[in-house]
Amino acid sequence: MRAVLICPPLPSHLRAFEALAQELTRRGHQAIFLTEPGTALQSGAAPTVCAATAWRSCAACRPT
Amino acid sequence: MEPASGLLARAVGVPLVSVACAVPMDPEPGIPLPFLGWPHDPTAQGLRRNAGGERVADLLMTPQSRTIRRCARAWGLGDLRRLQDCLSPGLTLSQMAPGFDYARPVNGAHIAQLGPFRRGHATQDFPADIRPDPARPFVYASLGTLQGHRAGLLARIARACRQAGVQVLVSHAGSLTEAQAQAIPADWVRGFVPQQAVLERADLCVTHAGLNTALECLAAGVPMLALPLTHDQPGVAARIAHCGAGLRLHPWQRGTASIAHAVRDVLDDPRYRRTAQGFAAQADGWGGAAAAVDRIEAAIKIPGRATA
Repeated sequence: MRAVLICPPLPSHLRAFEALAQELTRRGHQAIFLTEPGTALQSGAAPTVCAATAWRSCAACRPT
Repeated sequence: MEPASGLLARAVGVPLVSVACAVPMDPEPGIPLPFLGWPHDPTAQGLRRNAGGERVADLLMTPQSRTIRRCARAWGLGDLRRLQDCLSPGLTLSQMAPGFDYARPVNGAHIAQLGPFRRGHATQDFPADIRPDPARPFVYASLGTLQGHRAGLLARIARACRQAGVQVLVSHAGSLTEAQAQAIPADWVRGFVPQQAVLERADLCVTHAGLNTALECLAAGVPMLALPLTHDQPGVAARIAHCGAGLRLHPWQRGTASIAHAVRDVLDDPRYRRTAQGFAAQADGWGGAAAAVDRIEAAIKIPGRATA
């Protein structure tokens, strides 16, 4: 499964989504963050971060 | 809880799961919007009040509504107007601990209350340079990461704790200057502390009622005195009071004497601690991120993974 995670760039939200992303990747899924450019993710299993404006053109996010 | 997710998922036709890191926005009769500290009230009067709150909120959120409507029309998604319209109708993953939120008998079947996705660092040690006197109550006071700069309120909390005869550790999340921190009349003032370890030792947490801190208090069995400031904190504080794990003070009750009185009230009445400890006893069963992914896999039918 490829999951796109979209959340506000607030630390408490990001930390929760990072935990979700880590669990997804631990189970072999792919987790991709779609958030504002420059948003700092602390997760060790840092998924791909895409600028919101790149939704249409970002290869990592383009459905296959 | 980000409307873009609902719009994009509908636009490209992929399954949508909502995640409520804070108080769920999903509408439910009798439950006010999360940023309102009103009580759960399904009576006609309560419904009228909540409807009034929603009208004001809709007015304040007009720029967001315009964007949602514009995108929904442009992408042929129908009449979507508000954040609530963009949420998943099938599955919301909530960080609420079971029993902490108000009951949602009408529209709540799709909301999974899983507890915090990210648990605190229980392995961190209590700071060696902080040695509370075990003979006196030990209070931990924090206004969270985003509100830690409120030096005046932190100082008032510290004064109130002294007035109540308890020891207090104030954490300001690195938001104060050294001079500001030194002006707080607490027993200990720190930029950061290992919150989980501190809560394991605390008799009471004076908090802004951020959901993460509230859930960490419940997991540690620590009662709370909530002083909500912004965002969904009024809603979290109302739930703290509603479930019996503590008291909350309204903005007009934040004088030193009122806070001191409330500190004593929570410490002197064992029911608050008992309630918090009841949550703590259940905390190992909170599913967190693992249960969240179970739900996601079940919702989109990943073979061999699905659990209820």
